[in-house]
Amino acid sequence: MDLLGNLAIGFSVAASATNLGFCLLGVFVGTLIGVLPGIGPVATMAMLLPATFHVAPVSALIMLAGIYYGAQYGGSTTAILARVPGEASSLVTALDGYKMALKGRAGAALAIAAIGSFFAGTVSTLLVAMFGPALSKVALQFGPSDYFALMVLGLVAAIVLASGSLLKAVMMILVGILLGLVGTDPNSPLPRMSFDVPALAEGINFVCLAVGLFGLSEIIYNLEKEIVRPQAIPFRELMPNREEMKAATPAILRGSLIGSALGILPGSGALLASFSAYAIEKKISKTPERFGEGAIEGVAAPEAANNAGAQTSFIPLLTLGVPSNAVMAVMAGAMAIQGITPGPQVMVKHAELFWGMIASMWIGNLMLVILNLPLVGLWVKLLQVPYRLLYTSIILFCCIGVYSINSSVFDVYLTIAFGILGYVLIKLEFEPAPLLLGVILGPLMEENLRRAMLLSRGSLSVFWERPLSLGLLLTAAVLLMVVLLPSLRQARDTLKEE
Amino acid sequence: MSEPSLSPVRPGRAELASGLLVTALGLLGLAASWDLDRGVLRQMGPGYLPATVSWLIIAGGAVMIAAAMLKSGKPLPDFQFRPLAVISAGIALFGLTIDRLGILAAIVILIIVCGFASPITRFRENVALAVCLAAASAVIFVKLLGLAIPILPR
Repeated sequence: MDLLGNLAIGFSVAASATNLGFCLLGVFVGTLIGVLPGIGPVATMAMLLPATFHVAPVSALIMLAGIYYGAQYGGSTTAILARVPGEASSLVTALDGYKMALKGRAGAALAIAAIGSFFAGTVSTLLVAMFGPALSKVALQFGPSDYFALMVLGLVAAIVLASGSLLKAVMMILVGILLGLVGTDPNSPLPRMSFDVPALAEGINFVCLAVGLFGLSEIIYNLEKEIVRPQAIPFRELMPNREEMKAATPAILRGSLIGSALGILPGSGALLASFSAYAIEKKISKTPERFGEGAIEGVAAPEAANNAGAQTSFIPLLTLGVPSNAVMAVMAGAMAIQGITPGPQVMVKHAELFWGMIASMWIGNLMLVILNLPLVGLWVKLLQVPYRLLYTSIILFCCIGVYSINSSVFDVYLTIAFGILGYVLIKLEFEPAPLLLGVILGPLMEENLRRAMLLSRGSLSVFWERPLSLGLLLTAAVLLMVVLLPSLRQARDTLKEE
Repeated sequence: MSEPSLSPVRPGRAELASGLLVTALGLLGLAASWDLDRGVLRQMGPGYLPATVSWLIIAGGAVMIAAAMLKSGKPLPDFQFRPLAVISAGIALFGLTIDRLGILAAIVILIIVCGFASPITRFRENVALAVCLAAASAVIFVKLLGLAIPILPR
């Protein structure tokens, strides 16, 4: 069937020497930043965006994707060895993984995490390959009002799953949309909202925004606290024993499925997947008291889930053109830089891009399993690098990265401004991720709304006359109501706390 | 969670600050799009959506401020200005010097200044780090990757 043919195309693209190299670079950098606290995939991908100007689209996206799921692997390494989650999604792994390390089973935990992640990666890659084209076909039928409704649903889902105050999340999205609208309106020749600053005529530079908001702000915030250098626990053997494998296997299966399902939902990705998988394992276990004390299922399930979730979170972007979280927003930015508008037509016009990415995600997972287990020693050494050396280096990369886009000093100053804004937002407990989503979706929503209103001659009824947009908007409304119900609110909060 | 009705309501400073920030951003958006043609829904002008979104933001900010005034809330979080100010200054200096003084000088200045952001930095070690990173960056970014950044002062 078509699936095999498409996968063949994908592998032939992904297995080229160049793309293998970029995949390797991506997963390596990803693991690196996953291990290091204080820098995450969003900021790193944003910093590397300028580098993607000069590279073929497939290679650029392969590398960026590798950073994302590579970071999940890296994060689990520090979580298990030092109880420091390198990435937020590894938080649950730290619970049981560290306990296992204390009992001398760190090697087993690491191996299970790697194997589980690889299995999950395979499963989710297959799912993307199987359902992606179908979703795209559906989306090709969308009219502008349906698209608008879909984006509204995406944004609502993003705030529903965001932690913290809903109102603040909505405000972040709106501010993001506002920022995204700065620049040249496609319908009029003059730049808008740019306060007559020529550098803003094309819009606010996405890299400056992402690097400042996610990278600089994080560093400034971290410097307020005392960074305790984690001590990694030494371990000897790397293989899990029989009972561990036996207990872990069903957990890996469940984690993969849960992760794949949850990853598609807008607003989540790896984080929600790993938390939910852990909670479910604990619920269905016959011996739940083992959790938190070194239960292997508590490592296997979330690790499988976060990898599966990371990969399936590409689906909304690659098929529908709607990014589901901040990482995907950066990927959308990367595609835009390459002149590719995200949307269902990507699968038609750039088939090798889509299938090449799918195939490379599997290859990347394979690389991670092969590389990371032997390289654990290297990652452990990295944990010992003092933060005082790290943070200045990261700032340096941010500066060079931003400056190199246009050799523009204004961009550097703009990044500082967003860094300050990001810091203030973090302190006031706003989540910056919805802002990034708003920036990407704002112009798209405007275009679709404008077209829809032109077609319907100003009548808003088009939104409830077309069944598709009606359905999408109703789903969004239901989601909003669900989240506003106090009982579910509490359940959501306790899940975050656990 | 609710306070007994006898105690006076202390406005939550943190929520108040949040509301003020949001409202300010909305006002900024309104100002930026003030002289743009709004058009009508049927034919949206460039200013339609920016104005609408700005008003929504201002409304949201107003709600936050009102909520902050009516309920007791959290005090302002502890803002530490040293890392914020120092790093901003360091990067600003980088921006000022990179064109005129070249990448080597700009990086050295950047790293040395940013070192003052936190007491964890050791000055002499940081200077050594600055020199190493500057040299490495010149090699990697300019020689190897071919970025158009001058190495030495003009």
